[in-house]
Amino acid sequence: MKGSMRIAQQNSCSLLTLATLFACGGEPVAEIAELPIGYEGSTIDTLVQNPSLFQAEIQDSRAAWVAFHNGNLPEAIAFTGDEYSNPRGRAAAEMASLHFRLAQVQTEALLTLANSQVDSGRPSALPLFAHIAQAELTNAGFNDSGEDDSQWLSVSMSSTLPEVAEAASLLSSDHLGESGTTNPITDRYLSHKTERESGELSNSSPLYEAVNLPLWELGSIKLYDPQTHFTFGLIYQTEAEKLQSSGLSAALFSPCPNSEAARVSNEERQELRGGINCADQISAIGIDAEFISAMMDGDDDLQTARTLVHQVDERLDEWSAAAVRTASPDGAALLTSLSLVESFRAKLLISVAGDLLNQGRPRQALAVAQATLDITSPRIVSATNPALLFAVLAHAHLQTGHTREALDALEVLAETFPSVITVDETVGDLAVTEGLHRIGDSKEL
Amino acid sequence: MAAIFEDKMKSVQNYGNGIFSRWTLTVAAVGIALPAIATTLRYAEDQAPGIVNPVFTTTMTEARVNELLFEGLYTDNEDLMTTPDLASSIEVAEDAMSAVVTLRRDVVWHDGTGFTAADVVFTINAMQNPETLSTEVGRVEWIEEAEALGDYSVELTFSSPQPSPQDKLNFKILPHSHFNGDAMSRGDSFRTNPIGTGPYRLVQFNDDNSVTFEVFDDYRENIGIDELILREVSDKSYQARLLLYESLEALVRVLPSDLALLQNSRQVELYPYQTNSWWFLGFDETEPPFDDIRVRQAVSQLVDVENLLAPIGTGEILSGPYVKSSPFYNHEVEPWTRNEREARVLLEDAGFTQEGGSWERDGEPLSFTITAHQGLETAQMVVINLQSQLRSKGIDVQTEFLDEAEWKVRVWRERDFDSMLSQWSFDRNEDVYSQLHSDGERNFGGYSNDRVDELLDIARNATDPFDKRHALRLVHELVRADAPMLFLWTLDSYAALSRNTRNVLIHPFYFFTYVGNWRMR
Repeated sequence: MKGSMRIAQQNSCSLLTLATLFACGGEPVAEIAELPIGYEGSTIDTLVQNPSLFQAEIQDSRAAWVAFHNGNLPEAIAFTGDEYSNPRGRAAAEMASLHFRLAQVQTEALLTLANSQVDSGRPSALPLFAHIAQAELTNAGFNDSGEDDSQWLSVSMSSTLPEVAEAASLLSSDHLGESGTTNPITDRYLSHKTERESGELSNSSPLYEAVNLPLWELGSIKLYDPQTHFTFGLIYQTEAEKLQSSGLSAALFSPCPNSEAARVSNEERQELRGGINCADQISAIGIDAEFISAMMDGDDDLQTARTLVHQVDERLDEWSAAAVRTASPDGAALLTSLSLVESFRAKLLISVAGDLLNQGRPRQALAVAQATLDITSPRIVSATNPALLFAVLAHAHLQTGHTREALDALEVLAETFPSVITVDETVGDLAVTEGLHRIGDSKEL
Repeated sequence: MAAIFEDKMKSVQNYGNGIFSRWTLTVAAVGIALPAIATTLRYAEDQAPGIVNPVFTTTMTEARVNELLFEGLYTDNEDLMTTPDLASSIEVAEDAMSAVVTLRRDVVWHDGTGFTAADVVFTINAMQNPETLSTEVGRVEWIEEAEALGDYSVELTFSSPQPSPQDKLNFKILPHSHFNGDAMSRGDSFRTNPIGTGPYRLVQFNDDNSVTFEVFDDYRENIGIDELILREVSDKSYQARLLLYESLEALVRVLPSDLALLQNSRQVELYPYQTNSWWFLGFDETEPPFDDIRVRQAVSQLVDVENLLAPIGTGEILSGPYVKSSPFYNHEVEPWTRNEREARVLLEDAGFTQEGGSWERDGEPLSFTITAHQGLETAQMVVINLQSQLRSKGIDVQTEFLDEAEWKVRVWRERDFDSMLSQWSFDRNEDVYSQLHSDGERNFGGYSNDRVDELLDIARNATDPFDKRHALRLVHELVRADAPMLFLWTLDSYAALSRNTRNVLIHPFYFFTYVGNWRMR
């Protein structure tokens, strides 16, 4: 199965073979080549043939685009001014995806932890945090299990800790915020509400100031705010919607192969909770639709997922070859310096892995996410290792029982995103819980 | 190149023998009889196992081999949940002070004899027997008594309540009929003729230091790969090429410098295999000069760790006995950094003076030897660099590299070293008790701190995750200050397998736990 044909006018000596060497510097050599499926009209195709379009797109906002391309989303978002609205909006959309994913990781870990501690007899705010987290999950539309969060609330209302019982009582009433009492848990709850209603990114918010600190502490128990990432996700989503881009700026460094796919994805953003998702575009690059259909009908089998990645790699190898073949000299430089194919691969596969997670296929999601990781620099967020990849890895690990491995992925994010500590510490508590009755093993070398 | 072709010839011979001895006929849908092709997976280790007996296992190589040959009462399923292996069920007493384990009845040893409760009782007693000198004794210390209640039932009594004893019953069970008496010895013939109940049996140790394992025909489940061959490839820089040239199907740990090469190959799949491992320079605290904390701290501040790490790969520098992603890692504790001024103060406090550039005390130079294991990848580079760094600061450093046998005698048994460079790997529990507790069987340097002992005891017996975490973060802080070792780094670690090997799932520590499900194309 091949794509369209193109006559490429080659006159770059660096690309010539021995047979055409004599033509170097003379008449352009006409070369007929098949283009791989989905390549023609793709963003990569557009950029390598017309790099001036790229220059025009980024000329007034280069620094923000550089930050965005490198995966440094906080830096990309920090640029203010209308000229930065495209990269800023794109970064906001990715931040929304990232935080919603982190919110799910934290909540799932927190709920498992709370369940494991039900019989511990040690009073804490854990049941109340579980209630808040589960309600958030439901409100955000992530929880379609129909699980009732009221059990945690009723446990909390009868807590022997006055502060917890009071917070539970306030949360269950219709008069939260009117009581005039100061309770750190409900105060924070109200801060979230205010922040979400304003839809603004306010650096003076208590959410930012206290993001690294436990919200509740007693003895060795430290519990972190379960709402942080939901709030960040919602705020960044609002920001992304305000700054929605189109055309090349919507597709540039995205998981979508072309502008049209990015446009469709943008339209569906609300439903997809924040980020651009082009998982469905794997068929557009030539992956057999029947294979995908069979995969989704079958078990959560990791080998099939690996085969999918192999097929994506084969298709993108063809894209690379086509890009090299058809690029202008400046386009060739762009192709290499921006790792256009590699970063597209990363974002496309992250979309796929995220989609697999959303469809309850954590093993396949893990296989795809692991195969996505650029292991030449596995501890650094970059163009080929975007932040969202580590959140997806953490989520897939958590859902497959590899809680300790989820921490490896979160550790990478913690360097760039201080708020990740809320997730990291919660998942860490769960990892410790899971090992409580075990005796560890250690070996040399 | 010649070696590669020789290797291919050997592999052809291996296949030939395997195929013709193991062909079976299957009837295809079209009615034609087709031969089933025997499948072989050759995997590289830096060194062949020194001993094949789980009771004396010290290295990761040996632990991986154990996973092929032996089984425990319980194991990890693919979601890392405790699941029965040789056991079929367990009933824990209400007071959690005892439990009755019911055993599977369909298990046979590789010699064809049946597995019974006597094997379980023997293994526990032998591991606990002081004469055995088991390196794994810590894994059964919590069992007070094991008693067979018939052939397929064992009653275990505990020294303290065990609400979930099955989580600890993953040590490997050995056949009592292959040992004399109630104890075991490292020298028992079992070490070269191991008998287990696992999916593979050891066929032979080959002349080229490789080891051949063949699927155990009487294993109770269908196993996908017929034969495994462990190949010792001590020149690690050669391993990736062997994989690309199809002379191997698997590398357990890829050299960091080969990762890019393998990542770009369409023949190879890479899998994370982190094992929570860290490198360290350990000090013998029982003898001068390292019996003095000031000397340990001074040496720790004369080493440029970043400079040591740079040539050997990407990793993270650590400040304590956990990798950075560990829930026990104390992020408020900073690694030792180079500080010559502070080091000088400490050495002078300890009675040393610098004469002509060299540090000495009572006319004797500050001198010590760094001992390293030959099998530790790139250790030579690190040791030479360390020696050079410390010599330039006036410390006389010698080096020595020991093979596996010498290492086990000098380090594990006699604890005869000044300082040692090595690496510890941990399962997901990251239990450093045996390395840092004064009673720990892997505490080679004789480190002792009452508060650390107390915290490690609290952590080991904790029933509350928050208390355990709190205790171990304190351990991190105290141990860094005491400097029983200079904690160096954790390296990014990946396994690589040919894409012809399918359904691969790697256990994060034992590697081969799910090998039965692997298939070859």
